[in-house]
Amino acid sequence: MGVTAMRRKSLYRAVAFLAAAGLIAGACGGSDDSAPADTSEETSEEAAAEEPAVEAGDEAEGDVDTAIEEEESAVNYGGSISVGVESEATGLRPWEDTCSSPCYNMMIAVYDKLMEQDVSGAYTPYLAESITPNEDFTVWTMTLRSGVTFHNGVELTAQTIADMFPIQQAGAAGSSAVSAANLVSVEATGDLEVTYTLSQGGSAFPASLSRAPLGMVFEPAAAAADSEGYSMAPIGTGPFVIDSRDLDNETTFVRNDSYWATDPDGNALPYLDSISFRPIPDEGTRLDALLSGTVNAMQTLRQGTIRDARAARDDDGAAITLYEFQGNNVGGGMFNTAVPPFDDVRVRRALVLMNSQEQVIEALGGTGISLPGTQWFSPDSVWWSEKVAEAWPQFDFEAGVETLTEYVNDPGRSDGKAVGEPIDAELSCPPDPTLIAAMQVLEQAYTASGLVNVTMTNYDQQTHINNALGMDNGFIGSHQVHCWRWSDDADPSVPINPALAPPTAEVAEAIGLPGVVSPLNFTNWFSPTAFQAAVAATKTDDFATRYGLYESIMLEFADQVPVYYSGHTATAIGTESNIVGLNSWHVPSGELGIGFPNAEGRWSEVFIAS
Amino acid sequence: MEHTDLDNRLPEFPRDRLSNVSTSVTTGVDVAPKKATFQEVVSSMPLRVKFASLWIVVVVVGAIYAKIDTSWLGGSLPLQDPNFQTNGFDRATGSFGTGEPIEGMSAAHWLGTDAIARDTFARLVHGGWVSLVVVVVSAACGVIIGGFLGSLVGFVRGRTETVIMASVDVILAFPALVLLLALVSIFEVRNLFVISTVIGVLSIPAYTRVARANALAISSREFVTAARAIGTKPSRILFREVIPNVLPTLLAYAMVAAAFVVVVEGSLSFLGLSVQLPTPTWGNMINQARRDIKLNVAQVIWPSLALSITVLSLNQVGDFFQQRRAVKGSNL
Amino acid sequence: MGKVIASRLARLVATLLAVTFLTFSMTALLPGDPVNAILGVEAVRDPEVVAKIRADLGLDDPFFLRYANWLKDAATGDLGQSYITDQDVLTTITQRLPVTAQLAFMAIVMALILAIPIGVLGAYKQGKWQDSSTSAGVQIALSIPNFIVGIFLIWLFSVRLGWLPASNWNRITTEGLIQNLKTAILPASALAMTQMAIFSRLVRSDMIATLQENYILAARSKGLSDRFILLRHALRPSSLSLMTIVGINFGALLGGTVIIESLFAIPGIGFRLINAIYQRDIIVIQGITVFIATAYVVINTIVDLLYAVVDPRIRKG
Repeated sequence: MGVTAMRRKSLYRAVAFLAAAGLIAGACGGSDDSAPADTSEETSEEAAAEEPAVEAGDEAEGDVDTAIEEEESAVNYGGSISVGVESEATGLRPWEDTCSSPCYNMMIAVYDKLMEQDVSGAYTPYLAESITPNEDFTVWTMTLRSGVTFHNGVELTAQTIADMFPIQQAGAAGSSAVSAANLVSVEATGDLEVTYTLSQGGSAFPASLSRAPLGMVFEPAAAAADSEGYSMAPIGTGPFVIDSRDLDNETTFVRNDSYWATDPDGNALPYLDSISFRPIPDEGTRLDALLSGTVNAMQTLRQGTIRDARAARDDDGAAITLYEFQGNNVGGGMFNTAVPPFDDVRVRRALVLMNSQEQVIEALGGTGISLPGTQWFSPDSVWWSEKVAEAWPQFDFEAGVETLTEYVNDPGRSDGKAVGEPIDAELSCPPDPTLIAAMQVLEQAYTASGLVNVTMTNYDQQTHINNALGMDNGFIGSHQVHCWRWSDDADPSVPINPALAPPTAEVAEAIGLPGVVSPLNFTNWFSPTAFQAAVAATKTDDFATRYGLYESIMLEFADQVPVYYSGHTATAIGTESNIVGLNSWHVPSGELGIGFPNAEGRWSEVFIAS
Repeated sequence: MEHTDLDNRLPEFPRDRLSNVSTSVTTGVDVAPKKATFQEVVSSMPLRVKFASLWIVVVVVGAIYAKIDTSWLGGSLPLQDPNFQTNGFDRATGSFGTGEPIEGMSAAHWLGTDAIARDTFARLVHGGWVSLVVVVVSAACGVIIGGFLGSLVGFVRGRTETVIMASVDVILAFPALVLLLALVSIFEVRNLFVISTVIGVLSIPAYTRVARANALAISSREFVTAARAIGTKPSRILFREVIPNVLPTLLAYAMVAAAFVVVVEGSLSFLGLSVQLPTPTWGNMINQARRDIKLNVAQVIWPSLALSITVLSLNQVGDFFQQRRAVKGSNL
Repeated sequence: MGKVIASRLARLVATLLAVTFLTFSMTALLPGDPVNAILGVEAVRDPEVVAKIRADLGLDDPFFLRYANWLKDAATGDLGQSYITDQDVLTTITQRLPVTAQLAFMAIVMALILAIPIGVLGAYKQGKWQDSSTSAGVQIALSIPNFIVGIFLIWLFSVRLGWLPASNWNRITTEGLIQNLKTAILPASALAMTQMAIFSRLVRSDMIATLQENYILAARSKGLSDRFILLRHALRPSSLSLMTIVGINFGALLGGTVIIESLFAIPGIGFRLINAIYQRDIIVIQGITVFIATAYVVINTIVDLLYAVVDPRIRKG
């Protein structure tokens, strides 16, 4: 197959990947509808000396996250719990099925990942024992643990990982992960030694090994033999073994008696006898299910439910524990910089200046819960920069009007309309009521300026994403001002690089990188300096250097505003108060793990206290 | 006038499954039924039916006037803008408005505010408009098309009847909600008129059956036989005698059907599949208010009440008009 | 009699053809590239995969050929496979059908238990206070949308009183009958309210008409008690229309449980349909719609046949 064809193929796969990873959920702000933004891990939780994230005039102060800390009570073996999740997992195959937060809870129970993140956000080996890169990060050598077996008795060897690779390459979710990581080959170079070869050096490769498509270890022989059956009866190396799967109703797992991991004191894991997951799409019903004891735990990605759960705990005295988390994932939207008038930075800046984040967050139900966003990192992330936070255009209505007036009165204005005529803007969000509410806040503000003709549209999630993707117009997209969500808690290169790559072939040629095109650059905004910075950050693993590079990118964002933000996505897992261990699980090195980002719980060290 | 001569009764016609009315009507002399005057009708209404009619009138008038008012008259009513967020940024003052979201009843907002500080009362009144349009369009569709078809087959009978009833039954065979859901989701139809027309088409079989049962009854009456005997053209009989006498029952049925249609639209908008927000409908108001039900349950109650009382009223009035046609007493 | 059956069956076939044709056209008339719609965003846009889909579904064939092939497959039970979940559509339906059927059945039984006595009472005491008060109550039940009833029931019986689970379903086969009933009773009640109202009004009006008949007067003059006449002589003929409506409503409920199943997270057909709609899973939407429509038509025909068989004109001789 020719190079261009291959590029196009990997292009399509890249498209599918990020869409598949659900990184884009097209949601404006913390709430979302049926397919929430998938994110996986996060970075720091309580990293060194972070200032509390307070913007000027911001209502939501301080850190709303539940602390990650050691569990003091004595461990109890036994018991079963049921967890209410937001939706059913359409399939449980990491290489094939797209997985968002609810599905992730189930996958983590049955699969182990090669790498995990510890409480500081650093990547640390989990199922792997160690991993070392070469000088230019193109070759990674990984050593596996010995003595690990799958649930069907097959032993885990380096050859297993190598055998997984062809299946990942062909899978719907896996293929785009493979090309996004530039992974070319996976070889067993020893009994337990695996060598990964990348076509381009990437210092953040371990991040790919901590996400489902590449990082979750499945049994390749069984997968190749019966892929559909595998989805209903997944085989992994994880703490729990599949017991039964009643779609849309209940999926049950039981303890893996020969699980390889132990807790820091050497006790066998997991503690629970069994765990089951019940999809309950209705938010109110899911919380009611927890409060009435129908389920013992539940997860939510909606601020309104968190608010209600807090009220139940504080005002009604319900005996529940809330594990809250707010990570890098931030709601908001984007401008399609390929479409006038949004190709002019004055228009974009004006619209952001007229946008009151506080009011939008209130419309989303996140007052006191969701922190306003200024960059792709949350205030307690190691990557957060105060400089960027201050550079971000704060709400100033009159300044916005002034800036927009300048554009409107410019005889050479890019949308070709007459001087003094208002601009046309189409606001589009998926039909979730809270998103519509947020959209209307914007609409009212823009209309009040007298300089914007606003039309509002909403399309279902899939169409919303398709509009931004623009498969039929060269990936430019037909959107204008579009609800979206940004970032996740993995290494910054994961969300940032595809969003900064050249959006079209012309741009790629112009900067001397023909063929390097990303259809996932939804804003169609390209800055050579930002892109170079993003690429450079994958060539080094020195934190200070990378921090500086990402800060420069975010500063450019604050200046050129291709995107806008509402609030960081607040998520939570609620449990009955006698269920402990969600925030105190460990990685094999003995450190505390990263907790429960994005309402993805790790259940191996959870137990029922007496 | 009560008639107790059992032997003079008309033969029973097959009871229409979808109407709970038996269509036997007897009068002393077998001529075309006399039309009652408006006064007579109103005074024969029991109190609850009077209240029900009043409610319907209020809703309809309110919705129409509100629509005209906000579109053309620039707001002469003491009714706020249903889409205006009262806590929004106000350029004139340079600060945010004083409205609070999800508030309770107050002097400024008679029924409180919704999640983005819009006046609930205004939204309620405007919400009636969508229900009104859906009812009127679907009823018009049903009465005109279904009424005509049913009268035709009831009068003409024979092969025409078999063919038309069979075709109409095809529509009946479709589970309505499923079809609506499929249509709305596949074709992304959110246009109020289109949705109402689809509902109207789906209700044609019901109207056809009611019209047919009545046309059967009317057609075998002596005055019709007489008209045929003196050589009046069948089409003239159909349009002059049959249809005008079928119409009242059909309209009465339309009210009952209207109640059902309001619930269907409410269910659709509850699922988020009806007209686009920000247009308020009672169904989507309930849906939006549900998210904050623990903060203020009243915001769910107001649109629910509006919906329920309207459905109730339509049922009451519809029942009343249907029952006027049946005057026999019990033998027990 | 045979002629009646034959004509009804002919009608059934004709209706089924029309229904399947309409459903098929809906999805065939999609604007835009059908492959996009069918695969969803989440699949690989590999040209080879796309070509395979087009061949599988015969998207390049003329419309009627596609319809014929699809009909042929559907008749043998092959309703296709969802490209989004990789699940066979028919299997999906058969797994969920028992749940919805149980809900519908329970709703109808619960409705009948209440409706028959209420309707009889209303007819017997027509115009008196027993009639107006029960009518009023029934009217109110008819007016409140079932999802509101559902929300209220969850709040009262699950959160407040803690007697019943708020969501999900316990299958009889795995958890036993008691656990199953615990999860079934709230959603079935929400559904039963409207049914109860419809049934009781029907019983009442039918019975009012029956009570006007000659033979009731004759029975009375023979000196039989009111109660005896009500239950033995009046109820049976009045229940004819009721049975008809019960049959039709059962069929309708199979498709009408969507909202309740969503609310209570019950793994029935309606729930699956709504999920398919949100995921824009065209093949599943088509498959389920066809299935529900077919079931509805078949049930209607059976009821029609029963009605024809038990028609009072034939019975009265």
